[in-house]
Amino acid sequence: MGIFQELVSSRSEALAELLDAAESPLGEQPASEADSSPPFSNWNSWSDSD
Amino acid sequence: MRTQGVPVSEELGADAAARYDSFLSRRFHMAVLQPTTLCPWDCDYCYLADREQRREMSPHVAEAVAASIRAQGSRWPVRVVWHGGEPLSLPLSGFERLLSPFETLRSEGRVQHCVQTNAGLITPEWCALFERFGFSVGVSVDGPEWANAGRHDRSGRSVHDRIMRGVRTLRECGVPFTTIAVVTPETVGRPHELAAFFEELGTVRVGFNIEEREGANTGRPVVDEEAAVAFWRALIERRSAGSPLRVREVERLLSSLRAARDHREEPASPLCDPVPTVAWNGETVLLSPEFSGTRAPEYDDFVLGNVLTEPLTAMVARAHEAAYVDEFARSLRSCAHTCEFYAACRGGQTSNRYSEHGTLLATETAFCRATRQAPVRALHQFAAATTERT
Repeated sequence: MGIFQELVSSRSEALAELLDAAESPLGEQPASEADSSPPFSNWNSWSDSD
Repeated sequence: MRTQGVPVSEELGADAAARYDSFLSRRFHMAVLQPTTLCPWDCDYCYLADREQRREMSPHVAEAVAASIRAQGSRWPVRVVWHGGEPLSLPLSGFERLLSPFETLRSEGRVQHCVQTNAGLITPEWCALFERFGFSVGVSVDGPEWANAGRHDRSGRSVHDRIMRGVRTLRECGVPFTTIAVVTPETVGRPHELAAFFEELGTVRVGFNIEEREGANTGRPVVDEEAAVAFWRALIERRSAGSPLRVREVERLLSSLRAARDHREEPASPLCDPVPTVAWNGETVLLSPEFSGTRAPEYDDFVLGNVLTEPLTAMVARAHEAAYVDEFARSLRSCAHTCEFYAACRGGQTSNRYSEHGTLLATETAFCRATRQAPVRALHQFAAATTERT
């Protein structure tokens, strides 16, 4: 199991509290619905980027 | 084989198009515009090679970009990011002339202006322009004065006081702002002091960029990976303890994780923005603004075309034919199939592949390790430690 998957199944209550307060999930549109929500960018030289 | 001057993939046709469409969008959510090449400052880590030269964008280029956005006709607003050089080194009246072609689109809710500035030239007049045109403002500030030691003007003088004066002006004028801070080997060991500074600054949110080797910045030491993990863990613990500071990388990771936990299955794959970046003269690169102005003869400097002669939509439509774009699509496929961090990362930064490895076929970079993997490792440590306590 990868490290991210371990986080997915983690039972840490402190982690759950962090997740409850997290911002809305980014970019979840399937490829077949390309215009339903915008694509995402990993570019980090603009401070309000995803 | 070449088209429009750009080397093209030898595996043309349906395969390249399919690879592109599996990972990259044919529509852009962000267009980066370079109103001027000039920056009056000379920071140690800057990746811009031509920042001492004053070359300014003409309104014809802005008009062509606006026409492309109209032609794309996406449902969501396109973020037009004015990025330099230092955008505010353009005269205010000249900047306003570049904004004019977008006004109809903006009134229709189809454009959102954004600017990334070092804040040194911000005045109440600039703030009035930001408000009038509905700008989202980003400020580049690395922390307290000791954290800005690598930032100076061309005479070698510290610029920290000028940054803080600009931030004060933003606050006095009621202009909300986000921030990005470069974290260097010299500052990565002081996360709490950095966080406290940004909590006090009044920023909506901060993005911490672990210093990278890219563009013209190739000679400085890199941040140690374990130091990066400790840095992110300190920020996560601070957030857990009630800090109001929203850190871009932490929020992004938490959002990805929340989505994965909610679905309890493989999350749907979002598509990567092609991010057309339009230089002062209309020359356009895709995938990474850092490619603009980069000398890369094997890729004809990454220039796909010129918006003065071809709409951005047309360039994106044929983007899979460019060798460097196809290489990136191939590397994203490798990331998706081989990297345990892919669900939280979605493929890392494009330009780092080239600056570190000389090819976009490469996958893992120092950016991946310090800015995508290290936060996951830090959150994993946090979760393990808090699980043991509960």
